[in-house]
Amino acid sequence: MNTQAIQILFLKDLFLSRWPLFGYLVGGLFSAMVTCLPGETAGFIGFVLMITVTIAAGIHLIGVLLLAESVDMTRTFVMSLPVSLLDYSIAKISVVLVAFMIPWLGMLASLTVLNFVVPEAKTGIVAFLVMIFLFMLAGFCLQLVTAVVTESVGWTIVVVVMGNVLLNLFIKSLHDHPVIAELNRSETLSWPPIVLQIMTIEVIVMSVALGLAFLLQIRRRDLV
Amino acid sequence: MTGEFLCVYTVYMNKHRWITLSQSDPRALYLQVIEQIRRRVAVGDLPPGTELPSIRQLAADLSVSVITIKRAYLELERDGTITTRQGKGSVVAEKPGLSTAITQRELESHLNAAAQLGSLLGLSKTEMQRRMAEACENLQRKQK
Amino acid sequence: MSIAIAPPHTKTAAAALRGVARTFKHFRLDNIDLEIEQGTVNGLIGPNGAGKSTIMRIMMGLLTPDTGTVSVLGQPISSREAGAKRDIGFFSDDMRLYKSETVAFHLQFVRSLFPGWDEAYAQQLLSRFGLIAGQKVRGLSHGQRVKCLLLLILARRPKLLILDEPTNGLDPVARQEVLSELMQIVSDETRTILYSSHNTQDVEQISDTITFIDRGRVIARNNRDEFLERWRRIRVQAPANWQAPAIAGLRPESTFGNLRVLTLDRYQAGVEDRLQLSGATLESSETMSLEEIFVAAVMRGREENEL
Repeated sequence: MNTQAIQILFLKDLFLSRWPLFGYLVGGLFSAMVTCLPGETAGFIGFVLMITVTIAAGIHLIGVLLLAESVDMTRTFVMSLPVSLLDYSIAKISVVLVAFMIPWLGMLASLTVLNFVVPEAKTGIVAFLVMIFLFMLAGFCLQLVTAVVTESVGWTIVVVVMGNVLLNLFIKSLHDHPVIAELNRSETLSWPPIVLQIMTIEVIVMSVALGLAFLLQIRRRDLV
Repeated sequence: MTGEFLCVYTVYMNKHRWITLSQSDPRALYLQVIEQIRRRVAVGDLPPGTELPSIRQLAADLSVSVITIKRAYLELERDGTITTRQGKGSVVAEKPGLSTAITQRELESHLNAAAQLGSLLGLSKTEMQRRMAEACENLQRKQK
Repeated sequence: MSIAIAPPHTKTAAAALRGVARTFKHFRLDNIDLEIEQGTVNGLIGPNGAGKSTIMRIMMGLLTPDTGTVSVLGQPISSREAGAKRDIGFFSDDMRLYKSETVAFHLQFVRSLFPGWDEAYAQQLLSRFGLIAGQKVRGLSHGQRVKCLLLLILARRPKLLILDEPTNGLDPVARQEVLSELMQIVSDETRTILYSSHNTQDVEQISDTITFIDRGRVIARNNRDEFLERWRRIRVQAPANWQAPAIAGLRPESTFGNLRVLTLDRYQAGVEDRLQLSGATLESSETMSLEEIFVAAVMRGREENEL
């Protein structure tokens, strides 16, 4: 394992995706601020915007960083350089994840801060937000592993669409859940067991997806 | 001696090809190399003692395979045009006698051919001599 | 008292494939034995789909063979190891750079991975190849892209160059620029080139050793001059019932009335006489160009395979 090579590949990919990253980060922060505008409609619109930004960021980054390498055949170029499959896999999976987490974290962090800062906001809703964001992150990891396995835009989009449908169902069922609904109206932030359970499942799904993606990458027989 | 050595290498640096190989020439490339080196030696562009580029360097400069140049140098060594010193590369041989003989033969055949062409054109001996003198003057002017 | 004599110094192999085989869905590479001697220029000629690219990718560790061993620059090759790639420059016709980035970006990227990068030479090549550092790859023509890729390879001063059809699709000027720059490597006897082409003229000009590949197998392999010297096309006039004498390597190529054309792959003095003795009248016995030799060798290989 060559840490220098991994670093160089990682930074190269971040650099390549700099414009989309910047765009989604700005879009995400903007959406977060919209949610805090007065009125229920604003909150709703802001929320929808954030989800859109997150989904778009996910597809775009997977497209640019993962799928493009096989379609554009830049991978042959990269693998002709002194990097092993292990170096490449570590750098690639981590950079795709980190790149996605930049706008993702930007949004979650700003929403959390705004919730504490804006007087009308119910702080308890932060737990709700965290669960939703973790759900989206887990969904992203599933898209990632799909892209790694299938190298197909088509299949990745299928997973994106399914994830979106499930996300909406998830939000609805959370909303209807008595404990969570109660939490959303409270002024204090707390983490009841149901919330922690859900978060644990989400983290497990993420780890399994990432682990699978990584294992499948390094066990490729052919580099190109 | 060093002056000539530098001269040959300056030519290389400028990539003025004093050997030009023709793809359309049906003769094998190594034969072209041999002939052109012999000619340069014969007219005095490569005086005796001039260091020739290494086989690899010449191959690289002319974009031909190493075995082509190896073969050419081998032939040139065999007929005495060049001498190869162990581990120190090749130089133009000290005895230009042999190459002069080759060039003399060439001159003979060129002169005979010119005489034939002159008679075909109906030129007189004086006219031919005048043309020859003109050609020599042109060459001198160019060499200045 | 006998004195032990040391065996002659074996030439260093820059690369060696032994018994390499790989099966794909619609193609099979079969039992490839190939050795590339250090300091030589090696041409690999084969029709499209013959397996040239596959062999080269296996040499680079980009594809894993089913059987056989691969060793390059003295090290075994596998996808796990990156070390050998530090001294190898690989070019493939279908390699692409990042369209949205500039030539300079790629220079900087590759430079960061090669401690042996020669920046002065890279700058020289930039101007020699007529490339602009600030230009985006998207705007490069095919020839410029090829030259850019080669620049990225040459500036690392690799010990071994594996080039898969480098002159494909290049205009004559670009081709000369590329060949002439590649041949500079020849002046260093520790550096080796392996390149594939279906343009026999390039190969004929610069190769020391040539290997013919067809349908996943090595058809013939020899020193370039040996090929050119050993092959002949012989035209004879012979009556209808004439049978060619059993001379090793002599095969009929075509018939037209009384005219018989044969090819011979191991010429020896006296062949023409034997043909005359067998009742045929010799019309001509000529050498063949590398292209003609290649086609004849491939045809023979295919015929033999069908038997």
